[in-house]
Amino acid sequence: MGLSVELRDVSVKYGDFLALKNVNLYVETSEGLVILGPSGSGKSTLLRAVAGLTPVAHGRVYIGGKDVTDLPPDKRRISMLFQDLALFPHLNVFENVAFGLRLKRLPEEEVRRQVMWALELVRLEPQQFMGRKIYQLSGGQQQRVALARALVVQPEVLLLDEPFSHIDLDIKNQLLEELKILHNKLGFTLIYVTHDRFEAVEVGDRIALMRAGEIVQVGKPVDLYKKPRNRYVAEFFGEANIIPASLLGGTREGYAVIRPEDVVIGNSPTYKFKGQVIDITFLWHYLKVEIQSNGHIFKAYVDLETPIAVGDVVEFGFDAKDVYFVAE
Amino acid sequence: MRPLRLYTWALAAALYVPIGVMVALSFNNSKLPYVWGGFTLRWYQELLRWDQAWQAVFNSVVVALAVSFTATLLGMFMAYVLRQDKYLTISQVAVVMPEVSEALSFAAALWLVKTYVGVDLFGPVGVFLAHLAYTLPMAHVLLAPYMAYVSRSAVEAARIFGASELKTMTAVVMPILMPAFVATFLIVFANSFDTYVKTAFTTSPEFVTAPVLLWSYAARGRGDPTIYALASLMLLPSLVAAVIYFRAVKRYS
Repeated sequence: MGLSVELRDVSVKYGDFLALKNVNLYVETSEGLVILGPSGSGKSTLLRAVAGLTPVAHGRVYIGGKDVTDLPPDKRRISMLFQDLALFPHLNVFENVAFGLRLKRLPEEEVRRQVMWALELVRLEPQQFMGRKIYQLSGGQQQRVALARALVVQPEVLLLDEPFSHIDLDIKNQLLEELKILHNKLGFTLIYVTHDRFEAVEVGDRIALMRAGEIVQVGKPVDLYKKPRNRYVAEFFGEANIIPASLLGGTREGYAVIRPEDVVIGNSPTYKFKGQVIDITFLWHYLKVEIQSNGHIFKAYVDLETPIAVGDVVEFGFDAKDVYFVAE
Repeated sequence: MRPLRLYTWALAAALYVPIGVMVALSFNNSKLPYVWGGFTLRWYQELLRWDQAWQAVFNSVVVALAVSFTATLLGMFMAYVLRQDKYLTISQVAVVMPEVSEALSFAAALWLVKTYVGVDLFGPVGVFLAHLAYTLPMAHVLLAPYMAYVSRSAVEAARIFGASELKTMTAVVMPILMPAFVATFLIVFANSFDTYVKTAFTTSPEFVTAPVLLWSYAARGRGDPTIYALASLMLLPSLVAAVIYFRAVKRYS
């Protein structure tokens, strides 16, 4: 199972507004790709272009190597999980899941068998849940029904548009975990849209970071984190210290990116600074320390045991190997 | 707050006291409205024998049913097509206009059709069209807010599964809107059922509806309490409609 997805030079317009600008993207068979970006960056539009819900103004969309640009959504072998779930409020759990199967005119027995299969996949006990109305379910259970409804038609590509943005953190993490297991087990290609970088690293083999209708960088999470293409990527994908490169001496232009966990307080290696601690935050397994120095606020993650207090004047710094330079 | 409360009670009294008096008089064993002759059901017995009244009620029911069904269905399609915000204001204004226009203009239109086209629509068809023109905007305005319950994504989800536009309409949109449909149907029914002016201008002498019959007796002061009995009975559909309406709309909350 699973088909590759490719966008070649795809542009989407809403009236005069260019929501997607010549986007190129290749998603491999059975890969999990996360489209990450702030709201309005075009990530949902990209997903809708793959689904065939939004017409493309320019460019082609391929699924499994086949040009699907002019095909309707139901001919693309995709399924989609919507942000508001889009469950049918007038149907019970069984009929919601069966909706897509009934349209295929499968025999009743087959419909029943496949609905059971899908409900068990998402760990909803069929006997207990299939007769329930949608409004009788908790948020997490509704998510599971929506997922079962999307999976029951055995899609080659599963598209998810911020499906878990409205639920509690604990349930969200549990659902993300199960989604990963289902992805591995069933082998569909997964494209997951979110604005949340923590969600992104949970499900993404690779991440495509978007801004203003363009993909800024695509790569493995570690590449985006350690080798950001520019300041925008460095800032959006994790916390970062970004300072003018000139501050480190030499004639280099552009900016230096240093992750807070690479900042050392006290006896530091290559680059040395001095500053005053202005804030300390307890973050479970480390302290986040903010230090004012040279007109910048540096962030450092340090051990819980570090003897430090707000107001202290400290020496700090980082190693040359932990500095990554970007041009813009 | 006191004057406002007083006003509210006065308004309620102005609306309902005449109705209460009428219902009381339908049980009055006297032809004179200002003399209480004791309790009786004789006016209801006489009403049972009054064939013309039953024909009129029947006519009203037939027109009201036909109008409510047509207006609600058309109103729903209009609301569905015009559900995007940018059209909503224009459509609201455009469709509410006929509500403002008078029955007279409709009568004039029917007259023109009769004179120049040679088709006489005065009678059931004229009444139906006049009621439809007057209730369709109402149906549209009543249904439009409920379109929000049909989310764009629910329609798109159906599309992804391969549902045709017709299938999406019958399997997704209409079931979600069913309570609103029933509620609107009843309001349109109640409005059509007791409309006098628009009926009077567009009907023929042969096609008499219940409000027209009531009016023809009441206005000439020739009625006996039988017409109170008829009017009292005619309250029932409105009452039932009101109860069902509130129950149906509650399903959305």
